[in-house]
Amino acid sequence: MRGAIHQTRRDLYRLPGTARPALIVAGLCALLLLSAFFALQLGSSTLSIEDLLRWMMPFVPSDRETTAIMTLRWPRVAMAMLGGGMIAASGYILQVVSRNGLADPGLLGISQGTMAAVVLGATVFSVPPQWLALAGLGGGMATAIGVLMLARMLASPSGLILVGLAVGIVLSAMIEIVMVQGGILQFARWLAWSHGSLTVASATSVTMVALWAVVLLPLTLVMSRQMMPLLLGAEQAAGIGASPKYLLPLFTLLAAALVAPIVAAVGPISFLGLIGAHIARRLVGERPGAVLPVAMLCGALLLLAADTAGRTLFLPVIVPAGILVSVAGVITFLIAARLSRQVR
Amino acid sequence: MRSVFLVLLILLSSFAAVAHARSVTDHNGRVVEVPDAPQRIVSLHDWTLTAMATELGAPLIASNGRLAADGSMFIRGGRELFGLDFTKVELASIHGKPDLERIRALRPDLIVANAGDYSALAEQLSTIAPTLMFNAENGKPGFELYREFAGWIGREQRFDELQAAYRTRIKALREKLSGATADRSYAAILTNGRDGTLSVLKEYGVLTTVLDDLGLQRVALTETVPQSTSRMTIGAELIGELDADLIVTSYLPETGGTPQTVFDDLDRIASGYRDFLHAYANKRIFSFSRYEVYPTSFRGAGLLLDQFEEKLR
Repeated sequence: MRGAIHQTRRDLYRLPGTARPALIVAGLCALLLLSAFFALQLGSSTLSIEDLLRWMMPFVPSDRETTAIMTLRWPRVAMAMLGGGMIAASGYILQVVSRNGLADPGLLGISQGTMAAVVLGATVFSVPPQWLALAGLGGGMATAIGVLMLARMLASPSGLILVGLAVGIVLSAMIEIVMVQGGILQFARWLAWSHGSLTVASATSVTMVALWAVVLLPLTLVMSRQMMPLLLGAEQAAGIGASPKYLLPLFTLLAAALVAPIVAAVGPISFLGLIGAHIARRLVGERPGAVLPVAMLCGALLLLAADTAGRTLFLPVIVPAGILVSVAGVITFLIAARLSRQVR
Repeated sequence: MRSVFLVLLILLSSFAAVAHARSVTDHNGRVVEVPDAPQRIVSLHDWTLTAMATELGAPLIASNGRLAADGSMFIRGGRELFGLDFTKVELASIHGKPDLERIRALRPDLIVANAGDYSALAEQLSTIAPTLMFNAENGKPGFELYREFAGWIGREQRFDELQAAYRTRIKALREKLSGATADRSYAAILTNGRDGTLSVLKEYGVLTTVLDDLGLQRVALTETVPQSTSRMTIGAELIGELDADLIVTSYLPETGGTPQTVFDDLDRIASGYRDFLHAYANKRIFSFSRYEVYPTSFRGAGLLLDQFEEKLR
């Protein structure tokens, strides 16, 4: 699907078979668990499956070597799963809100808005690390609302992307100015963070992201029912009793909240929201209640695969997940599109 | 008797603990317990920390490295100054691509890292070994930072020996070159050909240190560099402020840089500079290999003094 989301009333209210989404969710869950297991086992240090299983067993003491390796490995695996799910959910929500299948936190400038708030908060206002996600949320939300308002003035689906890109470029330039002003040390920090590497994931940052995820992911799934009328557009949604006036900013806020803690913790991961939602729609159709969990699982799988590949395939070079996710995302997207065509 | 023995044992253990660990405040302001005499140091910045640790004779077991265009790995600065390569120390990580598991597998008892690249990883690195963050560009003079680092790894004595020899050499050279250095000014710069800007360098490894110690005066613009940083980017229109008796810069060979690069860059950035920069007219624009002048090392300072002795004679 390219450009605007095409949807008919018949498609919207036709109840699809519940078996297919459920089966796909179950399959993706199994695949994600399997991938997580291998992501925990693979790395620069070799680890046997027996040692890994022993480490995973509650109440069974694990050896010091395995514990030391896992202290470095489990946070990035957990961050990939949580972060991938949250970014993909954010991308899908933005696609529904904007009625544009190309929307993505990165393409709409929300990631850059979050980054700008995080960068300014950390460097100019000395905001403590635990509050940076909240600062990012404010920046992301303000950017999302600004971009939506500007795009509405243009009254064109492609206008949203153009406005988002323009705002994103302006914010990126602002960030760069701040970082350059701060000297080479600050610029080096910014450069390392801007690659979106999960190496920086730590027990502390994963805990912070997990706290956000525990609240936001169930809330997103619960609210997915409210998205259905929005697929018709604001006027028709209002015609069938929905309140787009409140729902649109609410979902924009939710999308920004989903992506803010990830950007604050590991930096921007572009394109994941776009690709995760596309694959999900290919697999289960257009019903938000079915698309959202599948998009989350696809996002989690993509980010996990990108991170695992980046830290195992090119040793001694470690390639940041943010760079690989575009490549992995495109490949997965092509495979999913082909499989979907064969099934249909 | 048993209780006396027990008390003595506890006292002895406390003394032993004190002797084997001490607190160090790193450049990020973190207070870290480090071994008094570390035996397995891993450096995560080649041309500052690796170069200094090597010169001080510290037990360095691994360093980060960089990928050359042909795919080989090298230790920037360490290779040129001390002949250091990965047959002599292990590879800790590729620069900018940290591999925490690889670092852990080296079993270090002390990790030294540069704050720019590794501050975000302080928590993870600290689970492996005590980790100290070093900021080579916090505005302090090069040898002051070097001495701090020597203290971190328990090598102040070696530092003082090297510094004493350096001071002797400086004193002799100051007398020899007094005609060429007295009341003369210098500007240390980097030319950024890609974006058309210039960097004014307040502190830059041994390049600025050696010129200061030889008695040259910095141009006034250097004083406007913010206190907590070592360099400042300026637009090319301010090049007139850099009209010193001597202009020094450096080039990076691995990116194709040569001593000619500064002139090519200046032609692009500030065409016409040949007509008004006195240093150009007097053939006093000097460019040195960055491998030798960016690391703060007495070896590099010695090589630079050799070159100044030749050029300023």
